[in-house]
Amino acid sequence: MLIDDNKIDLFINNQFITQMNIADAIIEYPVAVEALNILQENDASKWPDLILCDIHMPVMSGFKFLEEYALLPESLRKNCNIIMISSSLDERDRVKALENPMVLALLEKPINVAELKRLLEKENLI
Amino acid sequence: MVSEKVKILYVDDEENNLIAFRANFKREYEVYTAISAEIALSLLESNSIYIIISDERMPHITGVEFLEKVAKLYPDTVRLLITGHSDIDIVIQAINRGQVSKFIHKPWDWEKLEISIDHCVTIYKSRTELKLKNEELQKTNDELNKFVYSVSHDLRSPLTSILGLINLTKLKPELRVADTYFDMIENRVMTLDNSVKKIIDYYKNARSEGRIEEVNLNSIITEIWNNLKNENKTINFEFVINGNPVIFSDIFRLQIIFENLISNAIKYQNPSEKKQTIKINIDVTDKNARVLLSDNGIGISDEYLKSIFNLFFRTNNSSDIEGSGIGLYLVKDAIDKIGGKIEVSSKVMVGTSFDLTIPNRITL
Repeated sequence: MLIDDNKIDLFINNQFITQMNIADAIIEYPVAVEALNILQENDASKWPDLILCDIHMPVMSGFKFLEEYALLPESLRKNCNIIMISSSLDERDRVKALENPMVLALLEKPINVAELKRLLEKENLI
Repeated sequence: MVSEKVKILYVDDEENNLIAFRANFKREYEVYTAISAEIALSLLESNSIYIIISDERMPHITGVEFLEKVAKLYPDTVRLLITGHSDIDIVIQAINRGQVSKFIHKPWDWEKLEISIDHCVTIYKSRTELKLKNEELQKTNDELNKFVYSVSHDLRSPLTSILGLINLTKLKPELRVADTYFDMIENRVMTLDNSVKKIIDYYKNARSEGRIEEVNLNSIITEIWNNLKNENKTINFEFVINGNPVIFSDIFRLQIIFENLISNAIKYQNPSEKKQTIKINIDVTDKNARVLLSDNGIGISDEYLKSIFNLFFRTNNSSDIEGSGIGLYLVKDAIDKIGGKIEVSSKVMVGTSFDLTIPNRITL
């Protein structure tokens, strides 16, 4: 599941993941609330294994999304991983993202395919 | 606000003094009088009065004791003490405990009293002005903070998209033919991105308070080198640390310093030199780390050498090399902030060397 308000970035990340050949399906959400609505249906078949979520988004930021996500059932969350992505170098964002136990990592845009692959391998996700 | 009369409170247990005082000053100031310290304190509570004059000798409480209380409750006030005796003890106490700005002799000379009050009004006004200016400054600073935050995102966000797209083309074999163009685009975008990063660094460095922590010089320099070495793969890097590589300093500023110096040493290499070399030699003691960073690059001529740490300064012979003129300024600023020293010596077409002293702030 890709969440990013920038459609070009969605396209880029979709292409990267497609090239990496690690996903059966990729779903894109330009609005975090929509992604959240799907997750809130609590239907395990609609839950992704991995969420890549941008931090800076209007209406619902990546951090706000995380707050809402935390309220979802633990049984579904435990099979899903979140990687935050951002183009900002802001130290506070970095610390805030990494302090969150639900966040696997924070990647800087543009995503480095090799880095993402290493990360997922380390976590035994691929 | 400026035309508003300044409020003055006069405390004395002699009614006649209060009347005379009010009569003399009511035109110029908004005068409050109190026959006792209790009344004075309740007046202070309900009015924002910033200049307080107190008689020393009162029943129940002395002027010093009263002003001491006032100083604690309303530290922004300017306080005067009127006393009939020139007892040095009272003077000392008034200064130390009541933190008074002026003494007035009793019986007072009206003219001198006016001058004293006038002086206190000036103190009060400049304090208020300073406070206002500080608040404004704080506000500007906060705005700047937000501004840099959004700049760092708004400017970098499209750049990262462009870089992402370029990276994508590299994964598509059919687009390989355009590689050289994409490489050039990537190169220019990286330059722009680096400039944005430098501006953010500049701002952070100017602003942020230093934080002293354990820094391993070996690992930060190695990491910086590993990140930068791809820019020129033929450079021979010689790095030696004598002593304990762990010092106590501000890691953020050390990163700025080494990143800029090493990046410059890579950029300004001499293309005709067969064995391009960058040497870093560090001697660490409990007091400081002495760093010698030298290269055999194009060097800097004497006429420019004294200006290289100035903001936006670039030399003539560097015009065909990417640069923003911020790097060495940041280095100088960062080294000043951590209390260190930097010296440079250089010879054109022979090389440049920087001699840095970085204090080791071991806390016992």
